[in-house]
Amino acid sequence: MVFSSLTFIYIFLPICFILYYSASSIKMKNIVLLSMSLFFYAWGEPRWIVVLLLSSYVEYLGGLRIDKYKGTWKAKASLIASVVISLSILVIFKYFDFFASTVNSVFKTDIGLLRLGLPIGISFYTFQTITYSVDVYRGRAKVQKSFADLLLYTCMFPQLIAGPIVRYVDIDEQIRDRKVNIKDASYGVTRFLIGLSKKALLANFAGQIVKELIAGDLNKLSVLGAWIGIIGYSFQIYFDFSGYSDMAIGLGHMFGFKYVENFNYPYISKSISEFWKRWHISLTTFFREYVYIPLGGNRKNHALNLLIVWFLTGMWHGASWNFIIWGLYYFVFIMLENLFLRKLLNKIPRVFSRLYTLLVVIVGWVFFYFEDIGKLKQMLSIMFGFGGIPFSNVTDFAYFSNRLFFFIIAIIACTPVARYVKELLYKFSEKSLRCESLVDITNIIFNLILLILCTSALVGSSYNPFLYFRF
Amino acid sequence: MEKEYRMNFNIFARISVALFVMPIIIIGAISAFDKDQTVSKDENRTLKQKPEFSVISLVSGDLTKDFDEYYADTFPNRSGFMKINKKINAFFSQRATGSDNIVIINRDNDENDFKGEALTEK
Repeated sequence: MVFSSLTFIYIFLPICFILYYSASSIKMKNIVLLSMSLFFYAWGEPRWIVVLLLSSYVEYLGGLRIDKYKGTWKAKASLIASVVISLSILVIFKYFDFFASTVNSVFKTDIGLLRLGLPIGISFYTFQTITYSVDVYRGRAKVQKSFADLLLYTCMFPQLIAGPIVRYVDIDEQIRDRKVNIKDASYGVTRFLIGLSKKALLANFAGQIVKELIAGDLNKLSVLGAWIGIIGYSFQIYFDFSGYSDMAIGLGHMFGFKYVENFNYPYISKSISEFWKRWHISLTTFFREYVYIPLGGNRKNHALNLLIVWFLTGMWHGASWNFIIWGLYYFVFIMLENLFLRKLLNKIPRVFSRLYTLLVVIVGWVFFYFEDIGKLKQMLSIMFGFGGIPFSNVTDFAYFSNRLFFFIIAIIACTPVARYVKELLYKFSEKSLRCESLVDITNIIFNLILLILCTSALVGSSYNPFLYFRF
Repeated sequence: MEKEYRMNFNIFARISVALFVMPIIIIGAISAFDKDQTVSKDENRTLKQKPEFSVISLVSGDLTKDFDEYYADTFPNRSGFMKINKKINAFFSQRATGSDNIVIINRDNDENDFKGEALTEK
């Protein structure tokens, strides 16, 4: 099931609210959330619920054994076994066919492909379960003796399918005990509706631009058309993914959970290193805590450690060469920044360091978007005007000018302008009780308008899953 | 990082939550009991009907996907919401220049693109 569907908002969510808030104890509330989360997953992927249960059960058994043999080699062996099994499940479903076809084409072999299909959210929940075993081994997290509670951590519907990747240590206490106060719930509503608007109003419109300009034949594109298309994709992926994270965080608040932030206005970054501290923060944190630092971090083999992390980051996004190239592309820029570029970026005016970052990121999305390497090359050559491609033509110019309003709104929505306005409003509200009331009433009206607009956009559009579902 | 601004007063926070939860419960209930439309006059097409249950369609995921489409097609006051959606799209797509040039674009990227069928008079 997707958050941006009428079925979720008008059937699933009301039933979930009624059952959850009718339950008297935390145990009953957890049972409701677990049942609803399994139903939520089964709605989209009934076949693959077994994989989700298996992956969680492996880590559950691993956690029990790690705790039982704490301080002995058996604990380490149990950790390695559970992580290897979980990663093997991921590899079988996500990477086996990619590896097999690569080997087949290089060595002219005939390894059969499995063609299993990808269980939704497998990359997210596999990483989540790994954080549990590792943190129990490190002594950071208490072992979870109840399989139902561990399963609730893995498959809680707000963050099950596209993150944020929640570490077990961050949520452990909240599974055992949590309270929802009305101001938290109200914040959750606003955050959910903001996320839904990003997806239903902005990302889907940007997706239409992408579809019309760069999804098909690239031969008719001018330089301008290619840039509009890929900038459209930059907006689509940001609003789509950060919108999902906003909705997850908002839903979490409505049920008493505090999830980590996953985005922090990445497109205003002044360097690529900063961009990755602002984009998909929970994934960056995972790779830093569970791969980069255990490998030695910046103490030994720094460049090699970074290379491994960026190779894996690319691979995590998909079993295709373009994702690996995309990951290595960022490795190159991070290395360059570490070597000399960061000093230069700190010296030049901010506007130029921001433009540099945006240019690198937008060109990076070309590698991310095109799985077909031939098309990827063609797109890059059009964007940079190679082979006598005209800068503009009448169709691309008309297309751009017809959507200029959207681009202006999208640019504003990528920046913290709305946050500054909110800060000003809250400062204004400190003046008097009447002002405080006025700000609260504005918030309520804002939420209502967003609910109506988003419902209209969802009624008027067809099935539109989130881009990160396929990861 | 996004600062988590809360409502100033509990009473307004309650109203805010109520004005989200109540509409989704009420509209959800209406959608369960109202009579389904079968045809959309505005779009000149037949609307999706409730999918029939079968184990095969359940396991493959087709049943739930069909249900999502059926639910969106028969949503209460669908035509009213569709009108608002048209206005949203028109707002995003309004021309930024005063030019009156008309350009017909056919990129062959969309299955709904105009394919050049001849218009015939009856």
